[in-house]
Amino acid sequence: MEAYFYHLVVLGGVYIVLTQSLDLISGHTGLMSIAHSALFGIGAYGVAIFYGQMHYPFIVAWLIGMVLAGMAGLMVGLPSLRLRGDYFVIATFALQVLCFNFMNNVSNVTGGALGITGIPTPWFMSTTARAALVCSSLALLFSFIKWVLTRSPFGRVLNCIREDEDLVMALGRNPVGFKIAAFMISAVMAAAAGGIYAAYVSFVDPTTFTIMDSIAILCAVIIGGSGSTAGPVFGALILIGLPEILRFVGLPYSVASNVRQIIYGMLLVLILMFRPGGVVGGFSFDIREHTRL
Amino acid sequence: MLSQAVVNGLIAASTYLLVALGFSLIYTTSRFFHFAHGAVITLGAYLAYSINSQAGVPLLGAAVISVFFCGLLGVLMNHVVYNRLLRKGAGSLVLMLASFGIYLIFENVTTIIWGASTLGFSPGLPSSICKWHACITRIHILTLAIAAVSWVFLAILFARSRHGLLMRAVAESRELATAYGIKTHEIVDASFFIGSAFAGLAGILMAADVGMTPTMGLHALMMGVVVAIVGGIGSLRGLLLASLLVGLVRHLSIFVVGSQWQDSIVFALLLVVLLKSPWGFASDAAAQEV
Repeated sequence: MEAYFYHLVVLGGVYIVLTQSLDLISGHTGLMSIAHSALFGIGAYGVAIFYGQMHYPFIVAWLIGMVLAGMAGLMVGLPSLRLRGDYFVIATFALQVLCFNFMNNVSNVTGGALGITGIPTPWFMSTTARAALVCSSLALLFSFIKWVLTRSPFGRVLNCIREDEDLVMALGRNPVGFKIAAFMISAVMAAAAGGIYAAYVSFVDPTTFTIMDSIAILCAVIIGGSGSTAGPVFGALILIGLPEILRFVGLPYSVASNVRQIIYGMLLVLILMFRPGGVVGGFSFDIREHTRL
Repeated sequence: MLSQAVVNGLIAASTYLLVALGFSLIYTTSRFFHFAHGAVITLGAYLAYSINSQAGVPLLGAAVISVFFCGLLGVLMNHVVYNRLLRKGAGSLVLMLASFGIYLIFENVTTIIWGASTLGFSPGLPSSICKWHACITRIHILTLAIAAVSWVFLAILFARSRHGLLMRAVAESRELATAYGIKTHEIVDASFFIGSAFAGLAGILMAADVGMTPTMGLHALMMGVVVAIVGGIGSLRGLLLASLLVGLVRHLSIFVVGSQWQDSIVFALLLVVLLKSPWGFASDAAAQEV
């Protein structure tokens, strides 16, 4: 029972880092990304390959994963962030597909569909209690970093981009640079979460990093509440909690994941209709964009 | 080999064109990316399957009924979700998010009802005609013909009919069209109906060729969206060119890299287009708006 609790804390911590990273770009900057499970995957594969197979120190492998994710973010950010919101979503879609295909097909690097198994557990995660401690501290740390970032002058520009990009330009800032920076920071944070995840579960395979997972993470952040610190935490709790609840209800494993995604979809639509700020009452994306047409 | 790849490319191009036509028709009048379009594609195939095999209606009749229901489903989505959100002042971002939610619901309900494994229509593999080392089945010819007819239909609708004129007016500015007394909601409903019917049709044609799975819609939609963006959304000529480009690139790429890289090639193409000319083939100022 205790081990189970610690296990949930570890996953919760990892997912909080992930949802906070997505909220930085979607909630605070107003750019919806559906590539975050791929970016999470880049971090996970970074650790799996450089730490698990090439036996670099964990911290080095972790950083390599983050740098790779940052570069992927730049690669997609450059063409799409000069355009307005909708096109960015499509570009992140492209990133998601490219990353998934890379993980699934370049077998000599990523192990293909079988993935990489037997990643040794790093010393700081040797017991589940220790891992829980590490992950909850990381969740706190990254939530704090995001909190500081979004309250800094940098974060205020991001919020302003979300409200009105033309205004940002009129005030003499270059929104493209800020958007690319925000997306890269978000990608690096997502990869950080992925690295820890890979080290904890000790194997990675492409099925963990699909487009459906990306959409589910985005749903969770919107349901929790965009542009806040508590919202993504709540979103992560949904991501962790819902599968467990469904398991206790006794749904057969074969339909459990479908029922879970149906619930995500329904919650998302209902939240958008009746409580656009999410459960905790964050930012609501309402009339601002449409009046501009 | 080459001729077969070209033929496959053309057939793929016509399904992408059908999907992209519906997707961009809906985008043109309602100004957001309707991702639940993918769910309509899938459902079109499964509905036709059930009406055919369980209710015993001949395949052609089942297909017609299913396409009609797909159109209604699109209108229903618009009424139940999008219109309500619009009334609360939702922007295109919120509508797009809601469409993700609808997609999730539909794909998973489809999986629960019909199962995740591949289903096919009963007649099995149709006979094929072979010439110049390339084979083509009757379904393929039908797909090509339907895509061509649909494209011409939309071209005439937009250029010649009063209804098309109203659609273009709504596309130009919804507010202005409303101010001039155009029943904007009816026009948007009509575009949802036609667009979703195209999606259902595309789904049935794909399923008749290679069978159906609950995720087929998402994949077809991905390709349709790439076509819509590469072609310049709302430009019919752009869509035609882009669907040929995407279909041929996808199927000719197997001579250069393995077939598992087909999707990656298409999306790499998309990123290059976004980098070089964000508005796709329709790069003139007018096309950006329509």
